[in-house]
Amino acid sequence: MSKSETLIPDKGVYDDAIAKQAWSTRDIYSPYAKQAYATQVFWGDTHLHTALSVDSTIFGATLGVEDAYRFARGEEVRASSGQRVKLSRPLDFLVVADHAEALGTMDEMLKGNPEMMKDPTLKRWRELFNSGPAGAQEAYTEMNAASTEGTTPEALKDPKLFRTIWDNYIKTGDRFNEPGRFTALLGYEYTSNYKTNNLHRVVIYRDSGERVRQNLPFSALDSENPEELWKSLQGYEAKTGGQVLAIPHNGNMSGGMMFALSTFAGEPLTEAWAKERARWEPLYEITQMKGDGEAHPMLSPNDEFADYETWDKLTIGGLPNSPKNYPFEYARSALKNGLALEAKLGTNPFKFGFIGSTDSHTALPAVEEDNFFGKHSGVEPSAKRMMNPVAKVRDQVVLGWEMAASGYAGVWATENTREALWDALKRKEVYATTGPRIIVRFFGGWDFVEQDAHTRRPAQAGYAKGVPMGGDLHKAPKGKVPTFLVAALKDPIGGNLDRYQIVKGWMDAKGKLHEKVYDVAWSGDRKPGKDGKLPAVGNTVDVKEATWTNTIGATELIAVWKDPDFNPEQPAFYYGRVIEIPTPRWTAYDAKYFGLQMPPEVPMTTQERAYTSPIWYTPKG
Amino acid sequence: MLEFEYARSALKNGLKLEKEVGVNPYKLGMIGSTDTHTALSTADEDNFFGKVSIHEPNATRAMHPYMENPELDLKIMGWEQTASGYAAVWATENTREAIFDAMERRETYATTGPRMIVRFFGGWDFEAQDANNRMPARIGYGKGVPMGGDLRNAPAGKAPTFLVAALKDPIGANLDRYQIVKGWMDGEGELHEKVYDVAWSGDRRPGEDGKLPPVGNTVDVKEATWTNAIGAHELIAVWKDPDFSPDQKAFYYGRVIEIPTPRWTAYDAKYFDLKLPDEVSMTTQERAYTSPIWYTP
Repeated sequence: MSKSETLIPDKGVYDDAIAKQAWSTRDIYSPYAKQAYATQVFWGDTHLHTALSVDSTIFGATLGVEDAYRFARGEEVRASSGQRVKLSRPLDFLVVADHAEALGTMDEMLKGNPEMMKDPTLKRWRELFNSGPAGAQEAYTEMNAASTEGTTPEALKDPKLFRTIWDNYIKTGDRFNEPGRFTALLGYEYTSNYKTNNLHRVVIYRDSGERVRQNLPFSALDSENPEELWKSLQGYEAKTGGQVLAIPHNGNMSGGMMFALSTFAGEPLTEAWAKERARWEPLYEITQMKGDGEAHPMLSPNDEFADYETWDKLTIGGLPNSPKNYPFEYARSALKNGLALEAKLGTNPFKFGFIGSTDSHTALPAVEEDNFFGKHSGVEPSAKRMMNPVAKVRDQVVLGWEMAASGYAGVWATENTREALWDALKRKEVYATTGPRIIVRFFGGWDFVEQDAHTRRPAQAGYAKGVPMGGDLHKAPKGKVPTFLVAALKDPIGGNLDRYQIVKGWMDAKGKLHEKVYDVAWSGDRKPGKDGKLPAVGNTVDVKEATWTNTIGATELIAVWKDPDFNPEQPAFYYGRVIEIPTPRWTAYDAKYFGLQMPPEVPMTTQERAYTSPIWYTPKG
Repeated sequence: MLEFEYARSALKNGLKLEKEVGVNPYKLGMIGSTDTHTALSTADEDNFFGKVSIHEPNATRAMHPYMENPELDLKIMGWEQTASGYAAVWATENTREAIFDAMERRETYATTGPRMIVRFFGGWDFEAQDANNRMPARIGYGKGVPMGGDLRNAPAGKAPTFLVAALKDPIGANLDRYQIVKGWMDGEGELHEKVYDVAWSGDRRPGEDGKLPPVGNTVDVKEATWTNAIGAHELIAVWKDPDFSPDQKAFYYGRVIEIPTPRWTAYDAKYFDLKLPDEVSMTTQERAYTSPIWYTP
């Protein structure tokens, strides 16, 4: 018997040729010997702020970039509030994504940088900050006013200082990057608040400091127009030979601009624009502390899981939001609009995969429900944080309890290196969770059969007969409909699984957009009711004790699903959504720890979830 | 003499020897390990590289003798090799010092390969409510001693209580049951043993013989696979010794049993497309053994 022992060189990029070769590695006896496909999920946060972000400092963050890396790789640290904190398990990678705007300058000012202290205004602001929260608020107000009026002291904008801070920031990343063990992807946040609307992007490099330091980060001070950001990314790649991408977040606070059907200037979209958007922004940060962005209950009234940690009241600058904006703010809706735009323009600008991340401003990516350290240092654990404002802009207030303890990015990669992780992000073989480390597979193809689910290694059949999350199916073979091999394994220390759903969006012959949620695998022997809905899984949460039991739900789910409503002429997308059984929300842990009586409007349980990147079906070849 | 070859028996004899010589020489904690001679620590059923290099995966290894004594016509066949085991060590950090110290204090357990997480605490005051918790260690260390530890001189009217918890190997099989094995010496110096089921999956009830019915079996031998449609992901309970006598030396250890899964022979049969004889066992119920906790009057 001849068995191929050939190892496929790891190119870090998925393509059909590799998939075919991967199948041959089935002939290696050891199922764990290196396969040519991604065999592991690496967990990380692509969006973490430290004291180098101006707003972190304002809320009292003192932990810097080094603390962030140490904490993420599993070390215990003392939070800015002085409390000891550690993750249940280390993360595999981290993107420190401090705001590019005035990066590190507040930190320098508060440390008493001698050049800055020569300026009486900066000296005064420092004293105000050091005098306590009221002073800090006053200084912050003054700083904002100065920024608006263009009277920010020059010492705070000194380009030499900016360069030094950026160089140190990069050097620290390089120093903490340990290929194979812990990856420090370099990046920053571009923070456009155009007309109070959140147009933020996290920029992530594939490269090491040698390349990255050749340019300064592009900030909203350069332009509030994200199209200009794309040009700068293009410029970076051309100049350095490196690679970079950008991930937008919080469309829910964008006043309808995040996935608008027009350009920044309000012009109609063009194919050139669509290509740029799709090229630079292959992903969307679908869940984070400022709300979940998958779907909105008003847009998806038939989806009983659509209203999850919804933040739809405000723009990032504190103006009231409006329901007319929702279709241009949420991921599912944008994916649908993307199908229509592709039909119109020839390219789908909104062809993005999903990751989750924290957007924490504490230097602590701590989003486990029982270990939630808040959005910023003003809302680290305390008896008062629940009812304290987490955001207060003009007269608009969001209360502490509204924070979502979410999320993380799951990345299917061959190894834990900058290159392999970045390549997985680029090809969208990634997914989002609201915190738990659920292992999720999602393959689409034409030939999956029941038997393919009868295995503990779905990836073997998955890659051989289909494409993974983030991939494409084209031009249905005659008489065939898309089949999906789906599998999920619960977080070993988390809640059991309620169900695995597939969300489908499609465009009909008249150009009308549709969506439907299918239950494809679930725990127990529940049967869908007359309305087609699966009954709820039950609830074991003991809110008072902030605990639950895994006596309901499944430890793993695996199934093959065939689209019963497929039309080969209609473009579509499919993504997986995995729902956990109910568990205590972070508010329940706070209530128990601090002995609090919560107002009835505060939710005390949650059903955490994962969202896979979609697989798209395109009728043309 | 089998009595002098096996751990449980030695633990029992240890109680007796302690009475006779004043010290228990067989006060042993447990670890598992491979003893492989291939330089490859492979104790997984689906990835078993054998005891020695000629028994690395090949189509004939199962039916090739592992040991032979032709004079006595004794043979141990290749398929009799056990894909076992690993040592689990509860420690504060992954350093030589911390791991050695944990071994020295016996805060360790054995598994036959799967990486189940097993806690085993003994004390006088554990109560049902302590199991209503996802962090058993906090209460475990707070009110008792961990595996490898000692309980002495029962307070008046108290019996030993145990907080037990097990979490399945995330990529392995679900759990069938958590048992406590007790050994003790009575007033006459007689040695006894008893196995108690203390936590189990589903709503099974012990039969009239006191035995819990089997958990079931989902193994597809031909495909060398199984489903986790039976068994529990985690088990946690508080158990109080119903047969305790404060004047009698005893030990207690935990045994955690998985649901049936394919044995390495089933993976071989599928991979090499073999028809193996009936005597070759093709399924297994892997397990963990915790170090004991001793009670000394």
